[in-house]
Amino acid sequence: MADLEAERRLSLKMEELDRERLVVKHQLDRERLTKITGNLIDTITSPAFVERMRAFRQRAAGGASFSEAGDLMSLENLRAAGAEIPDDFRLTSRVFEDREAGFRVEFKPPSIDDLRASTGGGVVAWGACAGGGAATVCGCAGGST
Amino acid sequence: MNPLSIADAFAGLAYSQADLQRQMRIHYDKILDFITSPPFVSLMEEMSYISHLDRPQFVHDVLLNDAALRERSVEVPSGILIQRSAFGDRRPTLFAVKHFLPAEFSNVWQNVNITFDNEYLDGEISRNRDVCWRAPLSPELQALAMSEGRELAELQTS
Repeated sequence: MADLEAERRLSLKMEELDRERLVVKHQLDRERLTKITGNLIDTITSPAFVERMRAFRQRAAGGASFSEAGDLMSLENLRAAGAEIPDDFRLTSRVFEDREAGFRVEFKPPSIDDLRASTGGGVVAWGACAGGGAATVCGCAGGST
Repeated sequence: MNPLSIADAFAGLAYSQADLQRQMRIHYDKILDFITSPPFVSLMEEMSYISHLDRPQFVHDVLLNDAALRERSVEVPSGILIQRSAFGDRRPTLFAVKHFLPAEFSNVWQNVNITFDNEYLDGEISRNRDVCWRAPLSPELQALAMSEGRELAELQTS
């Protein structure tokens, strides 16, 4: 009886692993990703998008605020300026960790509050990120301050 | 409002819309060559088998660890970066595979990347301007919060 139960659990686990494998295979399908990134390129190289991103980069170099960035780069303002943007698109501020500088804090500090108090390094700068495609694996492009 | 013309948008830039699109395609293809390679796909399968709470630690221990990548036969090509990041909209992102565009294009778009997130429901992450243009969390704070199952949307930077 115990053997049967163990076998059933193993079978369920194998089915689950097969499902996960199929999900990854779909997410990392070359044709799918080429299409997603192609659509992204078409969107973010449109005249309205380029003009706004160019202005954002110029303003950011002088120390733009997040609010100013939102004025230039919000979905509604870009659409109002004539940019054709798919419904699933996202535009947001973003920071990258600076791996090149070798900065990486320990992953398990005593608490989130301690980490919040200690951080400040490790991030190069903030910037704008445009992304398209399904959740979990998406194409993005950006520029930072 | 009359839509901006391509000529007006690219006036003063040293490249055309077609040039920019070509460079983005070239660099995206480099990223896709890497992330669709069998060793990287196997790595993503390995990550998919573990709990979403444990994935931030896996990213730290494996994706950001050259030795751990080599153990899995994952060779990161020159020019490609694996980095953690955080978005203002607080989507639970794990890491990105990024390539900078040539410097002459950096006055508009600097990089292209493919971003890998923990699971989330699209409708739960706002596209509202006031949410999307908040200051992002630091990537390490975000990773820790994800590992503790915290709601990222509720976390503020200060």
